[in-house]
Amino acid sequence: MIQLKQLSRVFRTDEVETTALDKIDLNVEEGEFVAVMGPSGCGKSTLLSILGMLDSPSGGEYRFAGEDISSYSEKRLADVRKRSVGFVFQSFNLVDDLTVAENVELPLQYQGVPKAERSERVREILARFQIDGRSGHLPQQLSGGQQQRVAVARALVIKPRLVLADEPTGNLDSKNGEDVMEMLTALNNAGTTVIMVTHSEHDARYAKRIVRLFDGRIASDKSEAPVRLAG
Amino acid sequence: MIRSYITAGLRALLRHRMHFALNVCGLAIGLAATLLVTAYVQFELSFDRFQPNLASTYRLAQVHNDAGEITGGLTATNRISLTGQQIAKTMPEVKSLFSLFPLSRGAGIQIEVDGAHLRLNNLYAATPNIRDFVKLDVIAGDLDAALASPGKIALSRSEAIRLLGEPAPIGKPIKYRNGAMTVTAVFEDLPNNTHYDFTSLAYVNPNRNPDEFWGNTYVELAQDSDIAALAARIRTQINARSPQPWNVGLLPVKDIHIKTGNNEQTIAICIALSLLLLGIASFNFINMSTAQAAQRAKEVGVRKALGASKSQLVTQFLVESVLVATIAAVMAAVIVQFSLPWFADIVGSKIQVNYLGVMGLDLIAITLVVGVLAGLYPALFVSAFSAKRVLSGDLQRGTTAIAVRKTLLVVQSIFSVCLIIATIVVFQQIRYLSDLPVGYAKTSRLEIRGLNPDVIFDQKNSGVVDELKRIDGVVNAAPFDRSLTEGSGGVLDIIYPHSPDTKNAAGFSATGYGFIETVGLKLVAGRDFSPAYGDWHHKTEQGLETASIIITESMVRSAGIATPEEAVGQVFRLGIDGRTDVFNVTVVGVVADIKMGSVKVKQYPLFFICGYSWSPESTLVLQIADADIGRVRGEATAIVKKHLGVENADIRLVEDNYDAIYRYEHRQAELVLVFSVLAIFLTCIGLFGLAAYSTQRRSKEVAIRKVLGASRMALVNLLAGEYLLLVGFSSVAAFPIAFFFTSEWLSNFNERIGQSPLVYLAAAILILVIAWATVSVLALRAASLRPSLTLRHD
Repeated sequence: MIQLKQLSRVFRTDEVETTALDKIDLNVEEGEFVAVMGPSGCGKSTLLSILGMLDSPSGGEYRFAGEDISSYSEKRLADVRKRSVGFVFQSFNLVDDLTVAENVELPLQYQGVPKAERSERVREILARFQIDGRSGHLPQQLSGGQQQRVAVARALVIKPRLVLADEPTGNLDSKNGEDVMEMLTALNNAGTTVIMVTHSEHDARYAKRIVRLFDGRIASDKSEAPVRLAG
Repeated sequence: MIRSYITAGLRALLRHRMHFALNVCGLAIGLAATLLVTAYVQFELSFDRFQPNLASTYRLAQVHNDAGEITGGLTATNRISLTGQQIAKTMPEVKSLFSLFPLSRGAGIQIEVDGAHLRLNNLYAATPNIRDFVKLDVIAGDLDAALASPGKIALSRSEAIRLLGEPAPIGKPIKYRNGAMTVTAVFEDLPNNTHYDFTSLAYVNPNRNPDEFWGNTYVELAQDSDIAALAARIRTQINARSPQPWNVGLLPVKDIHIKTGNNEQTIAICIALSLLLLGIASFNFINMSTAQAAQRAKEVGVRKALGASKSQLVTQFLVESVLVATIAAVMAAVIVQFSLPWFADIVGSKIQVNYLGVMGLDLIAITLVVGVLAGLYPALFVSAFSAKRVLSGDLQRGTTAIAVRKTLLVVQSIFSVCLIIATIVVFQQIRYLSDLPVGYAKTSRLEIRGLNPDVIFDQKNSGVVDELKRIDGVVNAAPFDRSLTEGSGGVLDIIYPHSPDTKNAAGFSATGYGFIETVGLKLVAGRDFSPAYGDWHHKTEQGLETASIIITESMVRSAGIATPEEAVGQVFRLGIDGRTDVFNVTVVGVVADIKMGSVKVKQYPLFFICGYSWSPESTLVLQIADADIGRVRGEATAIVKKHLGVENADIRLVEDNYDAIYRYEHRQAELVLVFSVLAIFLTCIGLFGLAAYSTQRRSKEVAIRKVLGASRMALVNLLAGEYLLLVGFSSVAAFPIAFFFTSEWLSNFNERIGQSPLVYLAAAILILVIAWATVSVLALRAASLRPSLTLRHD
């Protein structure tokens, strides 16, 4: 599903040139659950941005579902992204001025889904994540855990082929963090590809494969039998 | 989608209440100013647009060669003699000609209706083809009949009600000095937006001296006529028959109003000022929106990640700014409702606002344009945030946006400084005009206007003057055939003894005994007119006309006479009816120069002649001591009634008349003042908004400096310094701009103030103080916070 070939990302300012990603080769198949780990500044976030089509590589090739999208314009990237990719962020990134339901509805609006279908799908997914009682609330009125549930619901409402999670448990206590990890696992079990950036070895154990980055290169890439925690 | 933009937009706006309020107030003020000015301009441009044959009708006027341009309005200076009209009629281009001859002047004609004494104002004799030129609705009687023969009169509806108490008093009589007229027609009142001011019309008497019977005259021309060539041909023929060199002008009827007084200039000033205000308000909006943008950055990032295209985001933010503009527009409409009477008064126009008509469309159009224009840059700026950067938390504040904000602030401050300077200069000039030594006394003088000169200047009638002098409190009285405040009046040719072949144009007015003292002139040489000498105009045994004159110092100079003393006793010849050998005048006194009328008008060397008048109307001037004006007025009214048969004589203080000369300038000054106060206020709002952000941004720095021992004042100056620098720079940049525009305005006046650098300095200091005060309110608050709060928070 994802093929990266010799993919580089270099940031330039007047004085410094920083290589965030240095000729990376990486394949991710449909249905995989990949954890990307590494110390701060190793290029994890840059990799995730490029995978999520929020950023374009400086060199190399990025094939998504067979298409080489490394030279796509911002507009075409936005088009692919809104159909196929769901995001879950560490800081939830809900729009403060929209209610829970409106936040979840947002990606459907950008896809041009008709209104009746939109409200049906929003209702459905809020029920699935047991936050339907809160659909009229604004994000500030929710706890961190509830906010992240909304964020996950928003990522999944478009039925994405790929879910990208950036430290999804970083701002949550362990109980809520576990909930979120369970949700991602269930999603992966249902066939969705999940790529997650994390610092947490604990969270990484939910993944079937761990890619470790160091200084913009892949230091190790191991498939592991996922740890099934009791409960 | 739009609906969700609006809800999201509203919630975002309400979350930042202060900035929302500042934005809406600022825009509302800007929009209200624009709306008022739009209403005003539309009203001014609507004048006479409904008259028949508008495209081919012109007003024909003749003025004395040197008297300046032919202007608009319906005044004595834009009429043409019957001779001129007859010449114009022979031109092949002229299809038809319509004339209005003023029959009532100044204080109006005295009439009697059912025993009550009233005055008839704005009565004109009109040629019967009036309806080819003026849209008139006859509501009773027969207008053609009213204008076809003498002894008939047509009244406007409200004049009919005023005089006779009913809207259709057909057949009722109106008595006047020489007879009676029958009301034969009633027409609907003229609308507000026409330059015509007649309220009653009568028949044109054809047996008048064609050189002395002057009227406001309109011609319908054949298509594609060469206007300038036609005017030139008429001028040539008039000048061939008349002794004076005349200038002839044709003015399209649709332009008459706009060319009247200061209309054109006031409109231009209004448009410029309202655009300035709207600009300042829009800049505030742009500045606050971009400064606020960082707070919307996360939302932009999220929306982008979820698939929003850039154009969708731009649309979203444009919807928000149009939303703000719409709320502001509603407020503006309210402001307009409350300020309309005041504004209409200042611009001297009878504006109306009806939102269901064109004004509604204007309001919507202006709102949309402002919303989109002011919203565009912020929308582009915010939607250009990189989703990746925002979401990974390393949002860098763009230096471009800060540069744009500072640039806009500089432009706003330049506007404000220019307006402050303009306000001071305009008020200085008006003050200067009011205090100008005019050469005559403005205080303690009354003028009785609208009297018949034939009676006043007949020596047999000196009883009225004598009796007026006997009123307790009246020091002196003298006849005068002009008003001091309304220009020198007549112009004729004068021949000085040193150059007997040269005709010189001179202004003159007729007066009587004791004139110098009564009017308060300064005698330089010779004496005042006095009954002790043969000063009064009379015919000699040889049939020559003669009279004494008092001349001004400038006439001494233009006559080439060395000193005023030498001038006394000299004999000048006057040009009358093309002859220069029938009228000799003797100089008996020289007075210091006086300025009659507006100083904007060019003035000829002036002389006063004893007892000889051309004017259709005359004045009696009273010099009064410390007396009860009301009582003096009452007694004078009774005396005038007794001697001259004039009811309710028009008696005014010269002082009041003098102020009225500069009413246009007063209006302009008031406009500039109000607009500059608003501009400064709006600039302050903008400054406040920007300072609020930068103070917030630098709160940590302030806390650290405070920990390190900085005083509160030092902190305030630190925060305000950035803005003071910008505003200071703007002041300097504003100086040449302000100088250019104020000099341009001042050049309208013959007598004007010199521009002082102190004014410019004062304006700069004023704006700096205001800016410092505005910013320091915020800075002081930031500097007063306990640093521990700020630092712990981080």
